[in-house]
Amino acid sequence: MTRNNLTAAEDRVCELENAFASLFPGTDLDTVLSSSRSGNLVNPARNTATLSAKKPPTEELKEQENRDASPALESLPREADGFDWAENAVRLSELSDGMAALSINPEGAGYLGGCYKVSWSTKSR
Amino acid sequence: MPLVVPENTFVNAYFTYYHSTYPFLYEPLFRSQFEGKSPRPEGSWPLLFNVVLALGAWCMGEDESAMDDYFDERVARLSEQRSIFESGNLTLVQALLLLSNYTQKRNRPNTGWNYLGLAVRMALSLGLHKEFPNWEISLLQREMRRRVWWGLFIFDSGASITFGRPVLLPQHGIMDASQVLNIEEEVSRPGLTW
Repeated sequence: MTRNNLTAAEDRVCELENAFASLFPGTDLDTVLSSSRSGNLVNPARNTATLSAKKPPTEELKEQENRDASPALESLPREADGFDWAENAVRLSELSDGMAALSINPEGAGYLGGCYKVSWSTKSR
Repeated sequence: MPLVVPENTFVNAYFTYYHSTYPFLYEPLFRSQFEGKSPRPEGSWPLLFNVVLALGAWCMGEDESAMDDYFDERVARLSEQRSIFESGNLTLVQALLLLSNYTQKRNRPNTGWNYLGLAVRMALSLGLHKEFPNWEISLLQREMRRRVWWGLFIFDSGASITFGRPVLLPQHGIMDASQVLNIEEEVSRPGLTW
């Protein structure tokens, strides 16, 4: 019985946290809660000073896309076939963790665009 | 089985009947490579060459013609090698694109669908969906990348629509490759390279 109650309570907390994050993206829940405990509840919709300095995820993604649209000149290969890649030759490499092919050298590693940052506004579980 | 028709006949048929609608290759370069005047792309040439022959034979053939089956058989043996999955270059994308179209014409639409999938993945790994305005490559090289990308885009989105399947292509804002230019192809010249 107690175990079921605990699980139900945990599920509800999770649901509430997710709803909060959807309604107030970029807001730190802990900050809001501690403001509530001190009797000075801050409304995240109104008071921007308590919001963590994060833009909404979609806006940040668009900005990253714009940055990605024109990579720095030095990261382009010399030749037109510079993005060509071949991983079927047996190669001995110092790095054996499987990430050796993702080198930052633009020759022979395929096209690698900028990394998209994903802003998670809920805490990871 | 000895060939009684020279390969050149099928190459000509390809460029006469197929290429004018689907200009995914650069004819002067392909012919120069075929004639041994320009270096052939290592590894990917046999596949491209046999697909071109298969399509040329198919364009020429009447219903009973089995000539393209011969080249299709050669293609099948080549694509059994893992290299089409384990390497990426423009020639391979062209070959896969043509192979996809050929298999669909030969009533193997799902095979064609799979080849398209691989072609799109390979194209993305080569950045064909991007323009790279600062990249110092020739206009011809740039234009060929665009031709292959947009041809691939049209074929893959077309296949998705035809089969009622999701379109798995980049969103509009992600691709910035320019449209293809509406220009005449240059005449053949010897010693042609990229």
